[in-house]
Amino acid sequence: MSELPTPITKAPTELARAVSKPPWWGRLETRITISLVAIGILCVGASTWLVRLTVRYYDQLGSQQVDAEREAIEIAKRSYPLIASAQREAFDSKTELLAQQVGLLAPAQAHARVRTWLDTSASAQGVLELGLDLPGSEPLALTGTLPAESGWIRVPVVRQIGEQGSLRITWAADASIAQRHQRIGELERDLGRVEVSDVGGEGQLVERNEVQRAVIAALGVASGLVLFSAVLAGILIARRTTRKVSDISRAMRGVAAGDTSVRAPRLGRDELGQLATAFNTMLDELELSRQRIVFLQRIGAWQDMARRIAHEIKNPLTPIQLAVQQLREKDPGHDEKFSKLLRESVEIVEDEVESLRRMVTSFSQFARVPEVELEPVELERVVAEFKRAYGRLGSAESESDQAEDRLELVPAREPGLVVLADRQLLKQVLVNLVENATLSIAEAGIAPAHVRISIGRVAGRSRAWAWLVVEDNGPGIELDQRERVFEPYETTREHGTGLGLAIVKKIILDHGGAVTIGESELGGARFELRIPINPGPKG
Amino acid sequence: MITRRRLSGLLAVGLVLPSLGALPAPPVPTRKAQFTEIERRWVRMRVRVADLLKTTDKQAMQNLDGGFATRLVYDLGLFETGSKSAVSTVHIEIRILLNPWTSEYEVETRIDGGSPSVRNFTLRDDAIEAATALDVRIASSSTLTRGEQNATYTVHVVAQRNPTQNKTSGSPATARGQDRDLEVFSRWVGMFVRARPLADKTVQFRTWPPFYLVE
Repeated sequence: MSELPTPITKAPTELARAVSKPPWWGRLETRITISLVAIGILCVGASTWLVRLTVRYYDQLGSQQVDAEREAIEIAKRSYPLIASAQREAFDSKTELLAQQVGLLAPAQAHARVRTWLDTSASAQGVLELGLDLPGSEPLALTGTLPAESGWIRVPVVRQIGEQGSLRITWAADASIAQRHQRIGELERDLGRVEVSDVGGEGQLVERNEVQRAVIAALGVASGLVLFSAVLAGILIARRTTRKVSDISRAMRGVAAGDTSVRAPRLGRDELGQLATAFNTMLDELELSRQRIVFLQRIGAWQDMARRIAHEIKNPLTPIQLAVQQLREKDPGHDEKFSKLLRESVEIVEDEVESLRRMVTSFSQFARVPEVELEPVELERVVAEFKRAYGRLGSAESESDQAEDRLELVPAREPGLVVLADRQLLKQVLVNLVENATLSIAEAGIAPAHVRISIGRVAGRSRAWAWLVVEDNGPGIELDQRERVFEPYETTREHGTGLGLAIVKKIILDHGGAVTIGESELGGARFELRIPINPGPKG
Repeated sequence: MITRRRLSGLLAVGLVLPSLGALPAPPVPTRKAQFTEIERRWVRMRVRVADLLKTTDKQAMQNLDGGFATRLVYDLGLFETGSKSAVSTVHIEIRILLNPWTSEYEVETRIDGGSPSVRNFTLRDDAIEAATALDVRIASSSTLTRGEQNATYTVHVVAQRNPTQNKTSGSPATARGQDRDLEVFSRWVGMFVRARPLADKTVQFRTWPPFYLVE
């Protein structure tokens, strides 16, 4: 119908370039991953260095201990040959002494002396076996006081007696001395080695240097595994976070490219999720604002045109009406047929002038919709005032036929609901909606008419809204017509001007609210208006 | 059911085997030996492993003269040429020790865990020669196939001086808390130990040329 302004939906190229997808090395995910790896390597490197120092320190302490043990073992092992040598000398001396004593005696006396020595002498302690072989007598073989099978170290000592005789004594040395010495030998051999369990739990002796290297290697591998796990976990966590950022960034790029329909996905309840929700809410608000601005611009254009048309049409109407009245008055009445034709023509012209005048009036009303002056008003009171002023449904002429028509006002569940609104314009809105409903019901031939007005508070929204619903039992509005009925000069009624609902939407948008059409439970249309609640103490 | 111990063993084997597989097996040196069949009943082997305990080895001689026992352990396996399963095995443990009371060197020999036989030597060199010269029944003739065309045999000898005697740690089930953690850590470290001293000295060879029993 006219050239209407279109909203700017394309973002500037500079903006789109500024929010274009960054290269891989500039992405947040890459930077966080590199940072995690670098921090991990730094931590593991520092830990490994400290562990290496610790291991070397304890190895140094162990080395000092080993030196002390080696010295102790060195001292201990020297005593073994000394003890053995001393014992051997003692055995030799005692055997020599006995041999000298026996060598001076006759064989029979010698045998008796040996027996007595073996039984009574303290020097005979430790003898396992004793043999005496003297010329001219039977060899003598005696056993000592010690049990032979007790694991002694057998030390045989033989001495010549004279030229042909001999004394042979097998002495016993304590085997535990040798066993302790062997144990010292084992300790010395294992000195500098430590026992390390293998995988099967079997202890194995390993050189200390090798253990030091193995400990560092084991800790290095363990640290590597920990680093790998930590970096992997960090990457996964960072990826989850950066993916949210990427999603929001992608949505922002889409908006910058002019696509205002794009929305960030749901990202949970954390700060990024709240950011995405806020971003989506902002886009919703922007979209609503854009639609509101577009509608108001369009309405403004229509108002301007209506004002011009009204002005252009209204001016010639009065001269036309005066002219035709003058024609009717100046009729001489000489010709009955002419007079009749003139009278009928004048009536037609006057009817059309009156029709044009009404149109001009509605145009003027549409063009003169004033700017809203918002103030806190009690919504229930406004509705009550409207009902009192409006009276009842239907015109006076059809009062008898529409006796049962009903304008119902549902009491508010929450009394004292105060909104920011222009009282007069809000009543104008109610007038237009009720008029529209009444005329639609009448044109549809539905009787009795029933129009219901109800108010309330919109629940569950961060911003406080009040709703005002006007519904009827008329024919309703088709789904595809619901947006178009708010356009000026668009109407579904036969005798409608198409301005009433446009004025309604303009006034509500000027209030910062919204209007939607749905289906009423009464069977007809349901207009729901949303008006911001006064944020003051009463709202 | 695979126990944790076995599982850790399998893990270690899985980690170690690939690295071992990449290493070429060192060639086993060969050495001459005398094989004699006694009364068509026994096969006797004579071989000298003099490098196992040399008189020029100062540390070994110092230990020996200090009265410390030196253990020589021989593991002999008789293999048919081309076969990897032993026909017979012999385990010999020889203990050579200076007795400071008698100033003699005792050589105690125990074959396959049997009762020991002791020989005494006044001279150290004689004792060492007796301990490093093996003269053992390596197999029963009935277990071998006669004829050069039918089968030839070699003996694989692993000789160790003072082999390390490993110990078995406490049962893992008894360890608790930090002790158990320490044990697990010890095993973890054990997986990274490369060189384990098996013995003071190890000599390994196989006899060459192969011998056979005459028909």
